[in-house]
Amino acid sequence: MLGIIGVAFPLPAAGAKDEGGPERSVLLLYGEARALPAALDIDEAIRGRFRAADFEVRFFTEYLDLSWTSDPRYMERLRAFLASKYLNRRIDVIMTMGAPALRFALENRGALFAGVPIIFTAVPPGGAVPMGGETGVTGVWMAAEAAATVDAARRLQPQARRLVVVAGAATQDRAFVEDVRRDLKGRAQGLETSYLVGLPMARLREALAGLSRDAMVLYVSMLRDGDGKVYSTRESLRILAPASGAPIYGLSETMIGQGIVGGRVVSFRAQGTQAAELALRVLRGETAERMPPVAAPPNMFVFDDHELTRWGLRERDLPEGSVIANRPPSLWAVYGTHFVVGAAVIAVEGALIVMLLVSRRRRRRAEAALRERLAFEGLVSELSATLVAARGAEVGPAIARGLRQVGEHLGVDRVSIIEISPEGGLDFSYAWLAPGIPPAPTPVELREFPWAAARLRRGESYAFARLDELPPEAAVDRESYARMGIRSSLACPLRIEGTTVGALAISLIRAEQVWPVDLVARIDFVGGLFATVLSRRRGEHELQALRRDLTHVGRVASMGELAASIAHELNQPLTAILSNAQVAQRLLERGDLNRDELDAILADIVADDRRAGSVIRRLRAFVRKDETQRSFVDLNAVVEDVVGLVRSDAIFRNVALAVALSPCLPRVVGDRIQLQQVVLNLVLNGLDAMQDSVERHLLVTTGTDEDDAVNVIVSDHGPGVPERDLQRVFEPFYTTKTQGLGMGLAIARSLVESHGGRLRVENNKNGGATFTFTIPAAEVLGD
Amino acid sequence: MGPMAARPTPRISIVDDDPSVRRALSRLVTVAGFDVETYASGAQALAGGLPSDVACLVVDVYLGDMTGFELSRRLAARGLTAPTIFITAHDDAATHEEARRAGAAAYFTKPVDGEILVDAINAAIRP
Repeated sequence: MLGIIGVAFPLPAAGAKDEGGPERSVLLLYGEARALPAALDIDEAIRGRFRAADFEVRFFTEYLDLSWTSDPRYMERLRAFLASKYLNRRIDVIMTMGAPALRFALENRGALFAGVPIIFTAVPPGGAVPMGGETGVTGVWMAAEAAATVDAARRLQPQARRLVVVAGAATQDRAFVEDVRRDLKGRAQGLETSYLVGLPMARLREALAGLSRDAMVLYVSMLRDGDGKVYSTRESLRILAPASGAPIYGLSETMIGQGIVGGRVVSFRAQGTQAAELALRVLRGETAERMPPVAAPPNMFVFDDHELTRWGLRERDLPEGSVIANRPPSLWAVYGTHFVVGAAVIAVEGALIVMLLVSRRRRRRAEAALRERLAFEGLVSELSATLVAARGAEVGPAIARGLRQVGEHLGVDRVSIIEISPEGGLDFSYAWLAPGIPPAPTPVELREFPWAAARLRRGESYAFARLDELPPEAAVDRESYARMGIRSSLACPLRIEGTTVGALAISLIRAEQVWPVDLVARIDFVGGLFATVLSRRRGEHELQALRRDLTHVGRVASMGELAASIAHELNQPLTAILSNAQVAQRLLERGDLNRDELDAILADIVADDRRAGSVIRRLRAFVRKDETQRSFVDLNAVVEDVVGLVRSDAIFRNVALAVALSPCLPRVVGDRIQLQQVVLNLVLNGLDAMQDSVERHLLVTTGTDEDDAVNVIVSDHGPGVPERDLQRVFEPFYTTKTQGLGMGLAIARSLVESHGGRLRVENNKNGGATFTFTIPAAEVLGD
Repeated sequence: MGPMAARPTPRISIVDDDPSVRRALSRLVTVAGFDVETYASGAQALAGGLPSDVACLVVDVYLGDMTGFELSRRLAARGLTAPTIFITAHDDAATHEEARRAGAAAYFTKPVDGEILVDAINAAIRP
């Protein structure tokens, strides 16, 4: 059941190293939809390690969104998308984060990444991901230490009697909680332990609010709550931590600073660094086959000063070697120079910085850097939340919000995303303007900025505080900036798959501003976030095109299946026309000018010609391949259209086709042609199913359900769907027929879902299957 | 050859479920000088009781309630064995073969040329 598309275009194998291209590529696969804190840490650590090694490598990044759905059709699309995206790229190493991403890489290795070494991170040892006989797979294990964390918590809260373990509803959340359960076995004696797993956020919040200080909460993971809502750690802790009546402990570094007291935490940075180490070895020629996965890097006890104070927990009860994070800078002075414990400061949602403070001067500098870093991490985290989860129509507004966040954070005048148009013009696709600042004058041509364009194309940023800082070779650029009234500017390239597609430009008009090297580097990073979104937008366009193609293929395939029926539809009026015309000829030859008779014959000819024309029009509409057209659609009319088209087919197959249409059916908003396609597929499917049946009835009804959704029900009298295949019938290429592609139902479901509806199948009690699709009504009908 | 007046006009029965085709064929056969009855389905043809002196049947292969071949078999079972011309809008090898086995006097695919159909009727009713 592998997709034709996935198999047809396997990625070039890395095994055969070509001599010419010195450029090496690493594909980073993340399981989530967006850069969650842990992913950000790993990502930064990997890139940082490569930079430190001065190893030139091109990174490609995919957020696979695997927790969203395990629907095989999504996987199919994803595979097809990746296959076409990386069609002509050689990937040297794949690095995955988390168990789902590793599983995905292993499952699709044959089709997509044949022979490419895989290096995993953040996977617990012990068979969470079956590796089978795969070779060339290595990585860094991750060990969450629930028992050690609970031990530490008991030392802090000796009076505690209860332990509440909290996790979300995502598959990954449940997998983590199982690991925790195993780890805690026999280690939480004397604690009444309960597991709150998969609750809706509001109920979980209530449950935690009801706790008192004789309890401790162990927060495991929450990618999704019981209502199916998606959260980042920061987002869920922001809701839970202030409400909780008992201290919360956690297992990962990314939770520190978000309202948890602390724990023995996994460092994703360490995971990333170690994995990058392995990747470097592979890229330098070692074979991954000879590198066994490395043990988890040691976890650290990290506690949040603010939370310790909040709960009145004593620092002297902390385990030896604990790192205290989030200590307000003013307090450091109190401890003076004898305070040798590394003060670990956790950026909001972000990284762990351990700083040894040995002198006041260094400390002050560190404090300033820290504040800046904290502010920047806050910005990155907000941007990441804003941008990376945005899809489809949300992308534009998300980018606009992101630019405002950058603009306000930096206190500048204008922040723009500039894309290079195919004609060489510069599109100010998105811009944020400080109050009172006019938009940049347009049009602006690429050739007005030759020096800047060359730098950006090479992937280099540039910044200038004053126009005269621009080098002599940037004379043309300087003039252009002056003409535009820009006094100070910073620009970073936006790169998709290694090609510069535009720039993130920050400018000042009212004043001049110095751009520290650090800041340029950070904005460069921010540019990467914007590029990710732009690339996602492009990816979505490709997916839409793919869906259009598939729909077209499906329709054409249906037409093939219908050819006999259509021939019949056309031949009937043609027969009548020909006979009538020949009769008229004979009458005229004979001089028999019975006017009434001739009128009747001509009227019949006209009517039959129209009938043939309408068959052709319907046919053309079915095979047209174009953009979707949304309008009000009457599903009764859709059913009638389709039934008109297949009526003779049903007769031909000896099937009694009955239609029961609801007399007052609200209209829906959608694409009439696509909805016809859905009904056609379901009806043809029903006809096919009854090929060998004795009783051959097909019933098509329309109606509304309690939720005011409009439904269309197609019920056949065939053998029904085998119980084990009830879900699979919607998979692409699932077919029991000897003819046809088996795409019909897969496409039908994707079309229904693109209308915000649902398509499902169930077996009838007295034989046969019933397919029902519902689409939200677009109007309310009064009675 | 006997006097013309002594020979009754041959009766032709047309069975087709498409009203427009039925009307057009009926006109065609009438203009060609035959008496015509039409039937919209196999059941109607069986229930109506085809006149025993019917000279030729023109039967559509797919009638909605049964195939033209089945109608032909059932009529034969009642002793009605007039030559039968099958016409169909679905031309395929299997249908063609079945028409041959059913002993068709002629077999045409729609759209059928009126002249040729009339010629075939004439050929079928002349021994």
